[in-house]
Amino acid sequence: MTDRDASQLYKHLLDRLREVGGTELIREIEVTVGRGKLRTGEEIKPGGFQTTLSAHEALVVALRMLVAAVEPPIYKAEAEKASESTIAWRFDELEYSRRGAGAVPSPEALATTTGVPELPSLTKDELDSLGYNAARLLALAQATERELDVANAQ
Amino acid sequence: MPTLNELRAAVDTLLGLPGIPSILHLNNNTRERAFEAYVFSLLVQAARQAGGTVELHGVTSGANPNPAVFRGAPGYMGSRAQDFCFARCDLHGKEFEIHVAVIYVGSSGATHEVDVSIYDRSAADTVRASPGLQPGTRNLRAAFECKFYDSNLGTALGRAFVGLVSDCGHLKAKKFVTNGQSQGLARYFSKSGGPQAYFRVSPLIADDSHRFVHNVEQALRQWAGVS
Repeated sequence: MTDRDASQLYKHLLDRLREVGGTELIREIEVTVGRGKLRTGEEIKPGGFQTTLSAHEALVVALRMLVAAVEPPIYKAEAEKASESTIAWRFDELEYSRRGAGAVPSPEALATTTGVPELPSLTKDELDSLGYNAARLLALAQATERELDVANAQ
Repeated sequence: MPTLNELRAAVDTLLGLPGIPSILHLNNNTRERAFEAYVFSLLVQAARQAGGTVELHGVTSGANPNPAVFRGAPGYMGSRAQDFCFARCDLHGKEFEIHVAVIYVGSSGATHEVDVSIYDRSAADTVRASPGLQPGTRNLRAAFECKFYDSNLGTALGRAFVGLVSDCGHLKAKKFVTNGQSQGLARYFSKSGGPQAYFRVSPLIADDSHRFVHNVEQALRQWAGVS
């Protein structure tokens, strides 16, 4: 895969994210890629510890961040397996008072406080498909990264 | 190296799945809390692998709550506002609990939010029986900082965690856990004597998550004197 291919795929990934409403993830990716990486050893020059990422490196970062972004339902499923029960998130009185809501509410009110973490409900098939395809993309990203490491070492 | 077409197809397939738009709209707090719950499950696994017994408890309902309620934000160990859960463990006579998103009072008097923690059971029982009592770090055995992979994954987080654990007395384990990667953080944590860092910890990457679980298991076995 040439640098041009990597750049095109990076752009394609961001375009597809834009289509599905992933604008926040696009921002995260662009900030991370834009930050660059640390120079190493003999590369360090006066006035600069950071250097820009190559097209392939930027692509690997974007792929990894995409996979990470879709993992939360998989985390929840793993936690439910270990807990042998379903999982829910609730606030206690401390968070409620942090939000400046005054007197401590009843448990029922606490349970319906806005902003409580909540994940979309996925069927088992949807979860399995998500895990399979995320793992597939991650494996491809790792393979790309390994090739990069070999190329950089030469 | 994977071909352009292979990667493009994999990206398109993943982003074409139902549910992806709603998953991508999850806020940062939700993603962080989900990752904490996952790390909690890895500690449960480590305790079992070490030969311990683990039972989930709800603070108001007792053993085996359903649903298992996790804190949506750091809070009080003794809070009975909801049926917050924790794992009650027994390993070779060592009785301890695994908690998520609990606030502790450090040796300096400052409060610290510990994402996932291991705490002595007897001290936890005392906290729950004493309204308003906050757990001190004297009985805190392990602290885990959990960080979801986003653009903020950097050395500032490492410094904050080092500051936190320095106020927690002598911990058997102090670990920074993330599903992401950061060259800067890896270098920062390479100093000896500091917290250990685990990158790319994810259910999708067996090797990295297994290494984390194995290391926690070993720390527990050593602490409990398991031969």
